[in-house]
Amino acid sequence: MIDIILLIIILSVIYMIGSIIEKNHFKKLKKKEVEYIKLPAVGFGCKNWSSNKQIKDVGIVCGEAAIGCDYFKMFVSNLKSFFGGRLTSVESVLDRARREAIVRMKEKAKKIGANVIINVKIESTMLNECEQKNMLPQCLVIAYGTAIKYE
Amino acid sequence: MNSEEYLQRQINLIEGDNINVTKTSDLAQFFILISGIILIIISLYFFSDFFVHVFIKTMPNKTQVKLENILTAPVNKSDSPVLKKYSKEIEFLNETKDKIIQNDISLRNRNNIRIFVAKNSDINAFILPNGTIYFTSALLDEKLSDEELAFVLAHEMGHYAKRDHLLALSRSIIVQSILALLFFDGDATINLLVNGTSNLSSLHYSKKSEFEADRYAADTLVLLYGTKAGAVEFMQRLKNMKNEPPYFYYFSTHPTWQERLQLLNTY
Repeated sequence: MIDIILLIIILSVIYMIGSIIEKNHFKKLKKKEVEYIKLPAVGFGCKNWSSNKQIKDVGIVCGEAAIGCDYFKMFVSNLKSFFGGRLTSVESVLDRARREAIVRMKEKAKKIGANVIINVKIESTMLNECEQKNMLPQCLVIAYGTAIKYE
Repeated sequence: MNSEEYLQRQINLIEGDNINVTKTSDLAQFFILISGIILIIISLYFFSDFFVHVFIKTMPNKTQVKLENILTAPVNKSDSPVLKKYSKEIEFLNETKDKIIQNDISLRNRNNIRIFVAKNSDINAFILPNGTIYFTSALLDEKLSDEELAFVLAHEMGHYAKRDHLLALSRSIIVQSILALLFFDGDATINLLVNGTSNLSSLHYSKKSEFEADRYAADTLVLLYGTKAGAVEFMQRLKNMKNEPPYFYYFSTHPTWQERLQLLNTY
């Protein structure tokens, strides 16, 4: 009985903290995405990209983001995976990680002074394999591309 | 499309709803899932309880005796000091037991009943899943009359005749297995819970089965002594004895004496 009460307390505290962190993160992400909106990042251009403009500088840029899933989200998703279906509680974690990685990549490209990022790839891995119980899933997203600076 | 319009559309996409994230709140999801799981557990309990109930009520006497023999641990308490002190009462109880078995045809093929005395300050008598009836020493110290003692014995034998002792055991096994399913590993608290549910003296019977046992005991008293006065007398004694606060009845293993007396009078 003590265990269950303790679990409820932990879950409610972590839900409050986690939702505040998530809200703030989304707010920051939106602000930065609007900031870098004039820097296009496109997925094509691996082999047949061509431009009329003179190219001054080319370089690889990448952004990484590792976002952890909080205990409450893991608890809900574990319950949900019991029955199956969309794990809606961890969707936001993946979304945050992807957007954060792209924003960081753009931030780096902005520092170089790039005009466009081509051939953007987004990859994701799990930091831990979650084989052990009580291990929280952590999502790692890497976004990389070629930054191009015109003359 | 000019570039101003295009930029505005991009900003709207960022500021607007996120397609990749479902809008449902985690908290709502949590409560839906928890209530669903609780519902499943409750239905599982009632489902398995129903089937075990049907099995226990319909199984042949041979199976019951086999089950009780499995549950019986080899104990030899015949020379314990508690038993020696109450040897007179036990002799009487054994005689009454034989009489009751003679009168009840259904008990003849399955009389695993043994009678023991447990040293305890609570006034109680209970039957274990293997058919052993325990009288607490406090109950025998009350100096009950023969008819009252016979009533208490017949009440417990009524449980035996209706197989309530096996039902209570099966119920505790179901609760244990559901708990084990819920909490996959054997935590210390879970062990505590399991021990609590399988505690022998806390085996609870439903009110209905208690009343049935009372009815059985009253019938037996009429058969043995020609009157059920002993039962009413015992209830009156309970009334005088139990001046505990009302929450005592909530935790006690039997219904209140008022209800039982009413049943005996109207029966």
